[in-house]
Amino acid sequence: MEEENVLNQELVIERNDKSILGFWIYIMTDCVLFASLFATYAVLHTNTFGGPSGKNIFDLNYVFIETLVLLISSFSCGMATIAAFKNKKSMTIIFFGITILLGLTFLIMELSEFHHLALIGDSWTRSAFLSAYFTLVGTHGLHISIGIIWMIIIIGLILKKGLGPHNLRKITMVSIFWHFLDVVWIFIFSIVYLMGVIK
Amino acid sequence: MSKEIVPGYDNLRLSSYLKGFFCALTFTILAFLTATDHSIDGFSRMFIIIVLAIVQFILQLVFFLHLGEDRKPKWKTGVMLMMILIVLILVLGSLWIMKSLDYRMLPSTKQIDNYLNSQSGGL
Repeated sequence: MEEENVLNQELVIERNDKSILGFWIYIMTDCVLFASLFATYAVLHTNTFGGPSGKNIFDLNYVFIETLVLLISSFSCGMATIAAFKNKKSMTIIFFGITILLGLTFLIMELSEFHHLALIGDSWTRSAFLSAYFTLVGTHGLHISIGIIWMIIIIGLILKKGLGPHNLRKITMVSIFWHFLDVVWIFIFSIVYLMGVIK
Repeated sequence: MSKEIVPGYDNLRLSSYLKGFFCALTFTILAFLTATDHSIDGFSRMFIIIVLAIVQFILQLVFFLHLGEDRKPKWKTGVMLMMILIVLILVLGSLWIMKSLDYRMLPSTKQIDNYLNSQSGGL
């Protein structure tokens, strides 16, 4: 019985390891997607067609706060993962809750920025620069919303089934996903916003 | 108990996340201050921001995504390096092609007129 348990555990270990590697490879292909959007943006960012350039429409202080919100949410996601592996159920749920709230704050800030731009007539139809900008930042926002939905599902799963090996695997994956989105945001913040204002 | 279930993730440490968080915070603030500092010229500011972004990228990979801590063979790191190679080819290649396309493009009628005028002293 004891031996069988050990064998079973090793099977679970191997399967978890494999699926996490598979998920990691998916994340890397997602990086390639973002890279192609970055390349598009880099090629088109000067084609403003008489419309505004980044310098005219970006509010750096606002984006800086957005960046901090996302960074703190990345940290709290890490805390949730640590709590999960220490088998602290309520702490895990609280930290995932904080992450979801911060993620929602970020998403609302981004959407209100988009809304503001669309209202003053600088939507994605205005110029090639704005199309590339909306596609790049919008794709990131779409990933953020998927991450938020995923974390809500994970909280439901934890409440239902506790912190078993399967849920730990899922928690590891969602935390990889969320940290990866923060990593992509470093480049959006630096290349699109900070460098856009300099030019 | 759960520690043995998913190895490779049993070494999650609070200190690693704290370090990652404070490094990322510092680098974000530094990049922000660089962008708003008008005493440095535009080109050097852009250079500094890119360097800060790359350093922050590596720090977040190490502290948040625990890169390089997986067991041998290090598949995760290998896939990551391959991704970086493809990304570099994609981004730098696109920029190179578009730049050279711009250079080889037929100039506008106005530019041709200007050129002809400068050659023959006007028609």
